[in-house]
Amino acid sequence: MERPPVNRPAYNHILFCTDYSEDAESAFDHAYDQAKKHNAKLHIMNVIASVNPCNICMDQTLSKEECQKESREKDERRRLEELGALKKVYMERCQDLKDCCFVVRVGSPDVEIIKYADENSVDMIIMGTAGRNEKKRLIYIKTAANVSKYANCQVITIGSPEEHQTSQPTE
Amino acid sequence: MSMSEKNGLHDLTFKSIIDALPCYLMIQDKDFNILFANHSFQKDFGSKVLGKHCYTILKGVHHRCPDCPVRDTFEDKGFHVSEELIYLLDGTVVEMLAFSAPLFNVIGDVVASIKLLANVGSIKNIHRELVTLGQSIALLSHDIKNILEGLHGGMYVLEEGFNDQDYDLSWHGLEIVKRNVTEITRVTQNILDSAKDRKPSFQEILPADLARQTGQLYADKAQSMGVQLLLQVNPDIPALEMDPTGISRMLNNLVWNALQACQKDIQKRKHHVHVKLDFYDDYHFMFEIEDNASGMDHITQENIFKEFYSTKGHTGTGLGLMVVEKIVKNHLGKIEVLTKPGRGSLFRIIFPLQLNAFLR
Repeated sequence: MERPPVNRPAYNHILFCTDYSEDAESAFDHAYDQAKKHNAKLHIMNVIASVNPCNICMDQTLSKEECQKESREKDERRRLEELGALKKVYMERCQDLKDCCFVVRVGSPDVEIIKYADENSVDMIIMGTAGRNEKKRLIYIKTAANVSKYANCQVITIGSPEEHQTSQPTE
Repeated sequence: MSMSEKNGLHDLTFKSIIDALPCYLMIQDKDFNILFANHSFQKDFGSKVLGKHCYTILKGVHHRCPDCPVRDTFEDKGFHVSEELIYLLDGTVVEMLAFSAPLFNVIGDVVASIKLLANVGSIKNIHRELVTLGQSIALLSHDIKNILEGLHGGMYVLEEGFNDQDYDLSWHGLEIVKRNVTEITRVTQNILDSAKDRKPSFQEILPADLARQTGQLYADKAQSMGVQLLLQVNPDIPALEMDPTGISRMLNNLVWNALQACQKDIQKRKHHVHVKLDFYDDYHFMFEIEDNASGMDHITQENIFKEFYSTKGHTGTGLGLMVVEKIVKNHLGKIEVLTKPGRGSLFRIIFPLQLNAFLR
């Protein structure tokens, strides 16, 4: 007897969020597999956890204009450095995918990820459970928790296997 | 002897009258070239304006303006009025009212347009002050409404205490009433202040204290609404120079909105409002007010900070979040909103930790 066709939701756009952390690394393999399986476009996104969300310069010896220029240039430099390094690594690994793009945004990670997903009709977000910034307490917001709660599409968060092993109870 | 001769006006020409007009007057052709400009115009923009485009002289740009009364006049042979921002040679920008009228030749075709520009900057300023006055009255009414809610709550607790002969409870109710009476005194003071241009008064204060005060103010109210109010404060955040009245008002508005949203939501059985104060990163701290009410749709999310926008019907003025935005701006902060229909909303307010240096 023939099985009735299963109505699977179409995944055309998969968003993978990375910040070099181990968790994000393990999540990448999953994102890659999913993009391959569904023949979807893989968006690779890195949010530079905003150094200066309120756009104020911390160097008080500079004038306001100099400050703005300085912080803009710093942001720009950082953005370019991270972009260059990450883009190279990931683009090489995604060569045999149908389509793939690399995006860098500056701001609060949760807000930027959700905004990007909405703007680009992303069907699935794949990300690490705890990012590098959160682990080092560089930023105090719970990105993965907020994204899973407020995103308008499916969200999969993945932890690194090493951590999973260490967190298992020892007898 | 004619009237003008009698008054010593006989040597006046049309040109001298036009030159003496206390406004700019110019005549332009179809291509926006200036054919004639009166003395006032040439005094402010220089004598070499003839033959040049009006947009180059008045706006300093090299393209035509999107809305142009002169173009309209050439098109429909009619009289047109518009408001324009004019850039004077010394760099000042003035708001002007522009009138344009057609000049016809003998067969009735428009050959040129006469344009008159009058300075309306001072009238505009008065208009703006009136709008601000109206807004502040509306804001204060909103405050009073919030306090009245508090008084109602206090009176309810007081009454319950009397009914049950529970003096502790009545005492508690009285405390709430007292607190709100203090608040209403403060608001009345604000009304008196707002007659002048009220500036926020900055003083050194612990953000944690403000968060706790808000928590205490709404604890009973939340309980009576069946909502769990959770307060999570990081005590390591240092004292900062802030406007305590403003920040309290901001927190009160956000918490009150969250509580009301929870009360309105009938989808879930348990509701909570989570008020969090923590560092954002090394240079910033944040307040987060999160609820698990019904959340907001896209349109609501886009409009929440606009004045008089409200989803609460007759119970809301649509000013609460506008006040929040204004206060946050005064403190050089930033608001972020995360929301999903059916899930809830999170308002995150980020402030720089070194606020003191910037506000001085």
